[in-house]
Amino acid sequence: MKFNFNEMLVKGHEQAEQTLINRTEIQEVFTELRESIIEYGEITVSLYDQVEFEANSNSRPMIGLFEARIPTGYTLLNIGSDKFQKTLFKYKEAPDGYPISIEFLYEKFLCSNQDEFASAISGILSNPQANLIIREVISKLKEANT
Amino acid sequence: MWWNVGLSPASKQAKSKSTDLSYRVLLDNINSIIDMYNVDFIALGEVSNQDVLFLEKNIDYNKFSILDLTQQVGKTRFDVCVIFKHTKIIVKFEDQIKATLQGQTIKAGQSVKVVNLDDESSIIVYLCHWASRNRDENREKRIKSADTISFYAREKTMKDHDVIIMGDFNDNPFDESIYDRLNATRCTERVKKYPKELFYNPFWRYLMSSTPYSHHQLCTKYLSGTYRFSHIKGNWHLFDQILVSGSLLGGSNWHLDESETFVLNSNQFSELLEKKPLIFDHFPVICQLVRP
Repeated sequence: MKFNFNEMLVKGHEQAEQTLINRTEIQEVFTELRESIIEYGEITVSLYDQVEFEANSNSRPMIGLFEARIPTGYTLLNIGSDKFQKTLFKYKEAPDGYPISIEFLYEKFLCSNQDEFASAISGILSNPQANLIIREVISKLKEANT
Repeated sequence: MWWNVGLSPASKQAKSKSTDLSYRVLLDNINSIIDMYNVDFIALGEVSNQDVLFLEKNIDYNKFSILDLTQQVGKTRFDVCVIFKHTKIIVKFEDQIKATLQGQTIKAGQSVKVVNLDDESSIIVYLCHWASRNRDENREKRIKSADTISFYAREKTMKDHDVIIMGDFNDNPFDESIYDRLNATRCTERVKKYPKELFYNPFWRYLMSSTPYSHHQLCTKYLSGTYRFSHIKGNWHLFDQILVSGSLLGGSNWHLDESETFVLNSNQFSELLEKKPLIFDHFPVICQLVRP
C-alpha cells in the first residue's frame, strides 16, 4: 500500500463514531426537554425544527424572477403542535454535533458537550420570558383540545 | 477606547472604590481624554449601575450618551458601560455571550453594534472582561471565553462585518486565549491574506518598554503594559487590548490607524497608577479607525 489510505479510513471511522455519539447526546437533551414540557403542561407538546432565513431582503440575490432566501445557519426550535407553534429558541449545530450555539432573546450560549448544552437549556427554561412562551403554547393546545 | 477603571469589580469579595474623590478623578480624566484624543467610543470596565448613573448625570449630555451594560448574570454581573458621542455614532446593545464550564456560567462578553451616523456603516464590537488571575483554574475560563467569542466573531467576519474585540482579557497577547483561540496575531501580512480568519493585535508593540535600557540613562520606570502586578516573570502585563478584524487592514471603508493606536501611559496616567489612595490600576488603551 503506497498511500496509507487505510490509516485515514480508521481515523475517519473513529471520528464518525464520535459524531454519532454527539448527535445522540443532543437528541437526548431535546427528548428530555420535550418530556419536561409535557409534564409541566400536562398536555402533549411536540418539538419542530424550522430553518431560519435572513430578514434583510436588500442583500438577497435574485434567481430568475425570485429572490433567493438566505439561511442564517440557525434552526428555530418551535414547540407546539402541527396547528400552532411558537419559537422557544434558535440553535446552530456543528456538522460533528458540537459546538452547538443557542440564542434566546439577547443571550447567546456556546456549548461544547452535553452537560453544557443541558445547562444552557436549563438557563433558558428558568427565564420568565421563556416560561411565558411555554405557557402560551400550553394554553393554546389545551384550548384546541376542548 | 477601553479602560478598566476598577471602581466596582463584579466579584462580591471585591470592595467598591466608588467615592466622591474617585468619581471626580474619573470624570476629569475622561474629559481630558475626550479633549486630547477626540474619542467617540469609550468602554469602561469594572463599573456598577450606580457608577453609570453618576456618569450619566455628569457627562456632556449635549454630545455624549451612555449605554449601561452592567447586566446581572446569575450570581454575578457584567461590569461594562459605553460612553459614546451621539452626534457621530449610535451604539446599540446586541447580545450577552455566555458559556458554561462545569456548571459555572462564563461571561465571555457582550456585543454592541456601532453605527456611524453619516454613512450608516456599522462595526460589531465585543466587550470582554475575562476571569482574573487570582485562581489558577480561571485560565480554563479565559480559554473558554476566547473560544466562545471567537465562534461568534467569526460568524460576523465570514459575513463581511467589521469586528473589534476589546477589553481586559487578564491574558497577554502571547497567551493561549488571545493568540491561539481568538487567532489574534501581530503579523499584518498574514492577517491581510486571511482577513476573515485572523484578528490583528496592534498591542504587541506595547509589550516592551518604550525606554530601551542603556547604562547612559538614569531611568527607574520601564512601563511595558497596561497593568502592574508582581509576577515571577515580570511586573508589567498587557491585559488590556483592542483587536481588529482583518477587514480593517484594507478590506473595508474603515482602516485601523496604527500610529494613533496606543496604551495611554502618559505622565498624567502614570501618576494616577501611583497615587494613594490607589483608585486606578490599569492604563486605558486607544485605537483609531479612519475613513480615507
